[in-house]
Amino acid sequence: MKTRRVVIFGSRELGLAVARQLRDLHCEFTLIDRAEHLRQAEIEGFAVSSIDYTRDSELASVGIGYGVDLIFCLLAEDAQNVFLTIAARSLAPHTPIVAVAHAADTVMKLHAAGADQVIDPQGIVGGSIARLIRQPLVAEVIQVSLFQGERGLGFRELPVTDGGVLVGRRLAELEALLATPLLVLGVLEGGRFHFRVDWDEPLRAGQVVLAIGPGAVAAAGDDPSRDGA
Amino acid sequence: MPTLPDRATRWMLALCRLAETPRYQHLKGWLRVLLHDDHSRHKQTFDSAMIVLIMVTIGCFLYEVHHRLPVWALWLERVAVGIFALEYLLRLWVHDDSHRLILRDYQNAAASDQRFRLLPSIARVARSKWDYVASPLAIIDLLAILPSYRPLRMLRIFLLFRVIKLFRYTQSLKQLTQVLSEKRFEIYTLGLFVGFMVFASATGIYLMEANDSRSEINSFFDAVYWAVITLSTVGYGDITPQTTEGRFITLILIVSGIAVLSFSTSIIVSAFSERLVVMRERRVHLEVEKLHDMVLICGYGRVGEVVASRLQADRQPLLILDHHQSRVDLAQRRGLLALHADASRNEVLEEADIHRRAHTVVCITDSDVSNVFIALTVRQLNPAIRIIARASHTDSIDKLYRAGADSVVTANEMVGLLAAQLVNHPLSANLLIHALGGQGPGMEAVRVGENSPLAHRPVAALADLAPQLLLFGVVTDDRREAAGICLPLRGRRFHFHPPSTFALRPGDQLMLMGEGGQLLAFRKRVQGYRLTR
Repeated sequence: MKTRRVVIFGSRELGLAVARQLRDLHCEFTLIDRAEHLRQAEIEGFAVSSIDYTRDSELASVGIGYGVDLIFCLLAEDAQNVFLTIAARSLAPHTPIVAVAHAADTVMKLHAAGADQVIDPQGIVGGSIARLIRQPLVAEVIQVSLFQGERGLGFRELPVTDGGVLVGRRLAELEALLATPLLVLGVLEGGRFHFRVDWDEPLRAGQVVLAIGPGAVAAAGDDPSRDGA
Repeated sequence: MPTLPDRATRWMLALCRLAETPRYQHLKGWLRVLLHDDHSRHKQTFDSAMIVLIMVTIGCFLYEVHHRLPVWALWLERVAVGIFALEYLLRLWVHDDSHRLILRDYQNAAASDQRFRLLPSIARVARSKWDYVASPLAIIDLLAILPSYRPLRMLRIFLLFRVIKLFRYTQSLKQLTQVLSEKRFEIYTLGLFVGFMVFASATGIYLMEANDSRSEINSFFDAVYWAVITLSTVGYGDITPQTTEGRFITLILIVSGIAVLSFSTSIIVSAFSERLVVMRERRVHLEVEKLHDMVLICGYGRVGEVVASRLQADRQPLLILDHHQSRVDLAQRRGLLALHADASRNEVLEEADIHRRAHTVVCITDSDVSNVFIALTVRQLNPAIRIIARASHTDSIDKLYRAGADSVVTANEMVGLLAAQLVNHPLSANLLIHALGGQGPGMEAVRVGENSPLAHRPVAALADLAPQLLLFGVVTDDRREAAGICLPLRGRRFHFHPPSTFALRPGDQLMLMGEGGQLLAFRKRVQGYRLTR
């Protein structure tokens, strides 16, 4: 199977944290930033490149629009990320772009600039802290289950394809059907997640069953449905 | 046989020793709180009652101008005056500890082997009491009682003092006087100028107009009256200058009056604007003193905004401390309690017992250095408090734990996890983003009680009680063996998605997923079972 090629713009704390996770998943990726910010990335042995992201020709030189499968815009300034997203979108209209917003107002701007997914780290941290205060046990359970790597839990996506083993099956019988102990959360359809839809309704092609199971985020192709469960 | 002075001394010393008893001290202390402690609820109630009483008696006096007071109103007035007099005496009593002055003199005399002389001690006590009697508020209190002495109708003017007495009981009026007293130099200068202008213009107009047959100014008092009315720009028009010289003086006085008004307005406005921050902080402190089990949020940046808005939605009492005034203003505009203060300073946390009133402190300033310092300060002040901190850099996580934080949250770890999710399972990334941010399908911990319908029953029973909810897992206190995945959880165990035969025991915590309303309904239903069984 073809390995996905990822480009990460920004090699400070956030970029390095993402790079470490991707290294664990054996992804092929390149960290891009100014030369003075790449020192730590070089020490950790990551593939790095120093370019001027404001120049389209230099973006094209690192594969934007030509072979890059996923772009992370994790620069320190919101304005930089918006500019980079617009530039990358014009060069690669179909490549998924994930951008980080440091201010709440920037989320909309990044979506307008063409980002497919916008991550608001401060909002996520705030929400986590609020949960730690309101529901300390729930917060602890999420921490030990989703942040323990291979020892913890991870999400699974089970695509329902024409002629596949899942078509026509009911959600109620799915858990017994799968080889690994998975907790089925619901179904993704048309970009929307439906939590705990009717258990007796047969699954249709095009739907994606979302589940949680043991181990960290599995690599694509590890889906139990493809194992001929 | 003891002489009269000796007997008096003995009696006085016995009385003084009696005043050292705990019951006496307790009573006096309670009265001090009632009369002087602005933070006491008893004082607030007392002040409100006194305001009502004063207003009622003033109402009686006003009614009496054209009507005859009914008997009950006369009795009400007598009772009110009795209360005012009692209050005056109590204030005089709690003003100092006279008995300690006498006992100290006696002990000093005994230590130096000299004869104790009662009269000098009593003179010292009298001087101390006189300090109170001669104080402005005590004089107002005394004069406010006098209008009740009906044979002296002249004393009705002292009714005004009863109105002034309201100052004692009203915080806003007290603050007004404080504001004005802070500007006393400017007010004194203004007073001198006004006095000079009134005197000079009154003298001038009297000299120019008194001998004019058309003029209404017949005495110097008329001239002073005219000068004050003109300087204040009121201008009734009852006295008008008739001569050219008099009109010239009037012109000068009118221009001066505008200057005086502008000056006095600017003094008051500047005094209030300087005082406004203090007044606002005082209001916040008073609000904080009413709070218990609150959350203290140190830092109202982006993360602080999210935390505060979630807790505000839950009606969780909270207080925000930030050293950026603009952020404090923003929080206050959003209806939150916020103080402009540095949370790392002991006195800030000790003021109003903030460190004891809070059950959780959240250290989320922009700087990891500040967060470490705040965590350390709070931990030293209250070893039992819960501290949650945010680390901007991974290196700071360990330092925050060492400083005393119970939980440390960092954005980088979460974003890294999301990145991994986005690479391989982009469709479910949104759900994870919502799960990490505390949104989307909710998760609730529901405890299995002793009388719960789920106690001592298999997990499968949950499907009958709440088919719409999803059991994410069960947290147990014991080392129960079960098939499936079991993760350690600080002295407990988390059983992920346990098999349907897994037996639930009292004390187990069910981690249930579902929509907010359904989770709430299930919790209520379980509690309902508990009540009926």
